[in-house]
Amino acid sequence: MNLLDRIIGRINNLPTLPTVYTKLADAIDDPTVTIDQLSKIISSDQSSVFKILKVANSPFYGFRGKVDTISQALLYLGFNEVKNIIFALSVTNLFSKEKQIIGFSPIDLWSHAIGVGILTRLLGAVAREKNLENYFLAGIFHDIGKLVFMEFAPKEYQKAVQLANTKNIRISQAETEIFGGDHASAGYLLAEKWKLPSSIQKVVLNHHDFVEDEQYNLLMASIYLGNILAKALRLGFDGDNIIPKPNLKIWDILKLNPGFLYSIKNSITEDYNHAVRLILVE
Amino acid sequence: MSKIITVDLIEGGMELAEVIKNKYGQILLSDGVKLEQKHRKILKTWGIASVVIKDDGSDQKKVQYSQEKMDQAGNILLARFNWKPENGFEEEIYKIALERVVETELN
Repeated sequence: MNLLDRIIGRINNLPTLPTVYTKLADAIDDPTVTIDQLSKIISSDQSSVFKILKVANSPFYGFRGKVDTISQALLYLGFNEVKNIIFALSVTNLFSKEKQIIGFSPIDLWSHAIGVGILTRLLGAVAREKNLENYFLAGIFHDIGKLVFMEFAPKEYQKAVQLANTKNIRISQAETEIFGGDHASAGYLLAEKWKLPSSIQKVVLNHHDFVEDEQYNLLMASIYLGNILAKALRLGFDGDNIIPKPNLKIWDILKLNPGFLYSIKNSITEDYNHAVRLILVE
Repeated sequence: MSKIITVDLIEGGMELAEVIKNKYGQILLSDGVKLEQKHRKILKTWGIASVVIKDDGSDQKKVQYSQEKMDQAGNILLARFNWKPENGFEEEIYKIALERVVETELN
């Protein structure tokens, strides 16, 4: 049994997701559910109410100060997006933010994940995707396997970070050398355990190499480029110093205008600063 | 005027516009404190992701960087960016990376 298998065995020790999230997820699956019923479930947890209204009114969604109630948030953002916000806020609290890995902290990683979430959603929106509900969540969750390593094997993960630095190789290569598998495999197992949507499971497993997917091609291309851009923009830090060359296939899928990527540099950095404060600080 | 920045963007001489508290409400740094580069690491160790600093809006005017800074950034990027841009989009990614090295590591 390699180290990765032993860590996977311990994933069952992770706390379960909060009741408000699981109740909401079940209710949304019911096609007859009403906004009032969903509002009641969310309102049973005051911290979720407070945070959803803050996030809904942030520049990220563009409603700026117009969302006053949970019913409005559900109406404007959509049921699944509200569920995703609760999930993102819950999951950041499940893992310790103060693990001591020299040169790579959980705060760095969450910040990177938030940056990727913002970029992935923007790239999907620019490609005129109407259903953007899982795009931000995909960004938040894509590197979760690294947190599993930090949480359950911090000493070994420290070695992987050092190995990536000294050999100037990607962190996933270093993880495979130390653990016998990389964070994509570990994260995929957690995504399965938490029964996350199949699109998110695929993103977690394949976010390093662009893999064409009949059903989720735009999401896969968006997260793949979002991850590379977040590294180039230095939004947080994901343990990887290397900025990989993008697979050329994504440009045909994303259909971006020339100059677009450079034009978003400053506004993305501002949105990122706001989102980090909302999700990680307040 | 004030603005929120992540701790990675802290530069020497920036002034805190709001106190920084830990999760127990204890004050870690008071408002008005002049920040230094070393605060980046200290704040991360404390689990702090972003801070509010005083802002006179002057950095919005700063759009061009000196050739010397860009050359320095190019050297830093050599180890991270080990490929040559093949199209306009990839050139944009390189330009973004170059400017962000100047903004976050050389200022």
